[in-house]
Amino acid sequence: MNITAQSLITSLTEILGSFAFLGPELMLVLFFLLIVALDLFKSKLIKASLPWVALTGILISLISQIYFLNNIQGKQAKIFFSGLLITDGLALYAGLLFSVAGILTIVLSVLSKHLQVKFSGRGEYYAYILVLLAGLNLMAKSVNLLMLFVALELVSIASYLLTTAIKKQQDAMESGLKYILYGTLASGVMLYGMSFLYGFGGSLSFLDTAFWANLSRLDSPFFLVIFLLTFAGFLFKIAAAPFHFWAPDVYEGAPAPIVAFFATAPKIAGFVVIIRFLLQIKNNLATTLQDDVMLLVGGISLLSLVIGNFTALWQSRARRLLAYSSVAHAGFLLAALAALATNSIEAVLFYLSVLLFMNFGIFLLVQVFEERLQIFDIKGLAGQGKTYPLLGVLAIIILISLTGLPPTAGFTSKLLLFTNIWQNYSATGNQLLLTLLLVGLLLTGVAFFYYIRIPYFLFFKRNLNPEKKVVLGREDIVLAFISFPLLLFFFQPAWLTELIRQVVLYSI
Amino acid sequence: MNQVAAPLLTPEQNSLALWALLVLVLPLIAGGLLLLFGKKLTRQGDWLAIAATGLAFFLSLYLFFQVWEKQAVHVTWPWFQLATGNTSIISFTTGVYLDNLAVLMLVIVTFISLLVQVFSVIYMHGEWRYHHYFGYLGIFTFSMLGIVLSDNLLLLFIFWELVGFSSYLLIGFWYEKDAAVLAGKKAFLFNRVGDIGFLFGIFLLYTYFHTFDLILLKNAIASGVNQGNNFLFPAITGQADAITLSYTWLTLAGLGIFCGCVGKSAQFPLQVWLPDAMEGPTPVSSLIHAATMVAAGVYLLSRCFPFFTEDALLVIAIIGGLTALLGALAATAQYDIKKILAFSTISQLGYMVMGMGVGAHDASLLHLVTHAFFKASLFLNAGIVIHAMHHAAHEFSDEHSDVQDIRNMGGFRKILPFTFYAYIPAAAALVGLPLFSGFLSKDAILTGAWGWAGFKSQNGNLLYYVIPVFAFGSVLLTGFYMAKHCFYIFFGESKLYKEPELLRENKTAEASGLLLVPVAILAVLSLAFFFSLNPFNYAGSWVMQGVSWQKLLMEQPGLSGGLLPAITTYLHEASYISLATAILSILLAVVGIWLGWLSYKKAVAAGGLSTITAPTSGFSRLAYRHFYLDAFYEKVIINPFMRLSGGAAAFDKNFIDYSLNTFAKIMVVLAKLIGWVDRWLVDGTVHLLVKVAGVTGKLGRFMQNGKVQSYYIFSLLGLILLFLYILAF
Repeated sequence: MNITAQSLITSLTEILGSFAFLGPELMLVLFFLLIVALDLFKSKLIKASLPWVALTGILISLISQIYFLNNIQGKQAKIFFSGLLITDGLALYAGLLFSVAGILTIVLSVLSKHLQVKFSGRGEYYAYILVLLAGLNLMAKSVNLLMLFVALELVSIASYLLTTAIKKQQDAMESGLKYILYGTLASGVMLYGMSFLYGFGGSLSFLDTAFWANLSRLDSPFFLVIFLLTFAGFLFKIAAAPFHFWAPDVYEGAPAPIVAFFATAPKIAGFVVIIRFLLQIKNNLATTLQDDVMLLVGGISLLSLVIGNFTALWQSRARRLLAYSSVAHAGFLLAALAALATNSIEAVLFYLSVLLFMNFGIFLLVQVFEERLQIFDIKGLAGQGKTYPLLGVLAIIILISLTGLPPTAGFTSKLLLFTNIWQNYSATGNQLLLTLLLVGLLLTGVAFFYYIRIPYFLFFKRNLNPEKKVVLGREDIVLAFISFPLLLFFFQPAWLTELIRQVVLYSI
Repeated sequence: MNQVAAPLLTPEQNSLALWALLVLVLPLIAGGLLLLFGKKLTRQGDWLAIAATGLAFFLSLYLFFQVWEKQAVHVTWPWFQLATGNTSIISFTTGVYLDNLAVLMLVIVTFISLLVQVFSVIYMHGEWRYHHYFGYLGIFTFSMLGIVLSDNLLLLFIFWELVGFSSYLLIGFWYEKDAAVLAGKKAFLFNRVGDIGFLFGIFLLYTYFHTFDLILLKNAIASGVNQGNNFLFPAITGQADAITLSYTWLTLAGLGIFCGCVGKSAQFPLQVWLPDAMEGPTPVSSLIHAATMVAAGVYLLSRCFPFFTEDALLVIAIIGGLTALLGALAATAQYDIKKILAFSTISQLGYMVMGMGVGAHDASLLHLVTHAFFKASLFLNAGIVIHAMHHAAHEFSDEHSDVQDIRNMGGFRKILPFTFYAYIPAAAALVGLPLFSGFLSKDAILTGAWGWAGFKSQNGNLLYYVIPVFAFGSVLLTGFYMAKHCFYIFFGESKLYKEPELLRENKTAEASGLLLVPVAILAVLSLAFFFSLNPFNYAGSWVMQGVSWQKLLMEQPGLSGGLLPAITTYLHEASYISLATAILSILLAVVGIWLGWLSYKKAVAAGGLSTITAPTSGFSRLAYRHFYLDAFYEKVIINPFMRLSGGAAAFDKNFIDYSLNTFAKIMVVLAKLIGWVDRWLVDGTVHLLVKVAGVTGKLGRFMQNGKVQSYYIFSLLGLILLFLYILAF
């Protein structure tokens, strides 16, 4: 009893101490509550200030994350809350990206017409964004299966609600429902897989070496089934095949800022979790099983690349095209991770950072075209580049970056990714990696076709029914602001790679 | 270098040179404006051309009175510089040289150009490209004045070529006619043949004397001392040491320059282009191919007279005498109103060249001046007649008869009396009847020729007398063909068109005043009185005194050395020659006219006037065909050349092109093969890939059917597939 009390006190002290590491999440939750409370007031002024309150919350969270990141040199990763969570470079960097994504989401929301006029759920909308961010942060920090599931569900539920934020919109509701149903399936499958992991591994903490040692004893096929089932939830979050089916519908139905967020932040969180898992597999699992995992990841990557790129060719609506391109991006990233090598983390993180800006840029464009210029499919873009030259040029920068051509950061990120795969192929001689490299390169060419259609229509087609010109002051400024890093990180990639290198050093 | 040429340059001389430049550019400006904007101007701008030429004429008159027998003006300007290997710089100057000859030529060229342009207003009326015609005339006048004013051979050569070019444009003015095009081409090419020699001569002179400047050359050459086979030049400008130059090379240099004259002045053997040049409009023939351009050769001979050695002069005399005789002979057999005059021009130019050759330099220039007026007059008269014939032919819608054939004419004495009376003095001058200008100049040349032959044959070689015999023979022939020309056109009855009214402008006036006034002026100027107060004695002629070699060459006859003074002395001693020449030439001319009358009578009696056939008898056919010179060139030069070029073309086609074509064919076959491979293998692969991509994409789209149930199924199927895939590996 005494021992129990002793341990209880120790645990409590540990838990109390752990709150110090939970600063950003606590900030977000605090502001969530504040917004919910403020939303009760009927004052228009207060309603109008809600985005800014949310923005303040995210900014404070961001500052605390930067504070943590600032002195990471020589520090060790810290596990807290009795082995539920971890604070390390990976989690903190992911948190940084989440915050940036959150800020951009709110900026885009402020610019969005749909989210201002006749929009009753403002308070909830911004509150959900904060909760979603808190969930993502927790997800990136989870090292416990149960904690991971809870964080993942927190993210999912907030996502479902945000998808249906504009309740009056028919397809928003429809896609929200699909999202919930499909998400439930993915969660269920994952939970099923996790239960097997717990059963055979004897632990919920996947940092536990014993956990992996136990699993190493399993038959290869059986382990793979468990692994695949568990991964279903992660693949759902990163929108990789075969769990990508939600993406096109949700991308089409949800508000543009939210879609931009979905295409970025949950994907980053999902990849952080996958990286954690794969690193553990690499370090602790039996080698025979490792090879199978490699094959599996490579297979998922191939499937995602093929389905994402080829299906994108057939899309006429920008949002669906971007959904499939998002699947393709997941494929590219998985291709780098298939080697199960520590050195690929840097390339993946660089790619994800650049993807963040590209996604928000392209969805701001989508939002501008849809809400301000009433253009919904790619053919409608004909000749608009000449009417809005600045917008057109920025669109070209963003699309070239998405394709992966110089002089944009998109090129640098793809270059780093492919170089990394080539390095790992040279080191291991694994034919799978070579296949992934070649397919990836080929499909970059395919990607060129569907991306380049947009500038082609913007500049080379004639606008047959010219309309009144709309003034796009704020949108242009924000877009230029988002496009700037795309050029900057092409000419100065070292500024980002250096940070990422330190971050990775600080991770487990 | 120019301080030698113009040591005492007064402001007055400078201003005279500037006026001369103005005279030069006036026709060019007018011509350029007409060519560019002529169509938009009132009356297509003929007034502009005439005004410019008129102004140039009056300025020339001013210059004439300032310079003639008063001073010579030589003004030079730096032209361009060439650096040589050893740091020294060769400067070239350009400049204006005005002496008696130059100002006289200025007046003649601008005056006849003015009259011809006035004449052309009617003659060329209604012509398509009327403004081009006047524009070309402006360019021609400019080029001709350039030759006259140039103070150096290089500049002179440039204008020489410009004259050839504008002559080409004017001969081929009616380029719709094949004959005109061919004639233009022929004139241009034959002139080029002569110009090759000309260039050769210029280069030789430059090599020896390092200057193109005519005055400097003249001074340099004057210092030469004849040493038999060589000339010693003690101090040539720009050179430290005395040099010795070979007699042969200097002779060749002179003959080279003479080649230019042979081409431009239609001397044997290059004279064949001139008759063909009659395809150009008649006023053009009058100005260019009678009065001015063809005289440029003679002008050149005068300017370069010091550069000719005695042997060179001999060649010049032979060529000139031969040309005079051949031209006259050919003229006797012609029936084309203009052709006769053309051959007569060749013959008269032969006289002038021969005159230069025999040292009758002054007489030659006098003949140049008198000939310019009476020949221009004859051509313009012919122009009026042709105009009348055209008029009538147009009325009768007669397109078959040759309106230029004198056998189709007749009776114009009564139809166009004014023209007839204007024609007579000019024709008389050409024949060389006393009181008319031609008599003076021809007499002077004949005397010179006789004197030269007499002087040269003192060593017993009587062959030199061939030249004066040729010259006197030509006098007889001139009388003959001009008499025929006159009788056929003006006497008897009109053969083709019986109604005289149709040949006239209207009942009261025979032709427009603008046609008649120039003709009248020129007819008056064919009188000897204007050139010498004593119409029977050339010696007192003011023109001849003004352009005498003593004055023009400043008492320096050049390489021919003592030849000219010696002939002068010889003529003084043998004073009978002068008188005998006068009597003999008059006699021969009269006999010629009488023979012409007989021939005309005979033809009328035979009734063969209207049969338009080529002569059948041996000699007249020879003369009619111009001694088969054209045929000779055709056979000896053109045909072999064409065969050579044909052979080269055949070689090109059958060997080089064939090889290339075969190679190209092989390449095409290869390319087809590669194309096939490309289409079926390379493109096929690409198409296959595209198909595969499309099908895959469609599969992806098919799965995305919007139903959550099927999403479940496809996701789980995907999981199973992945699982199976792992098992398979």
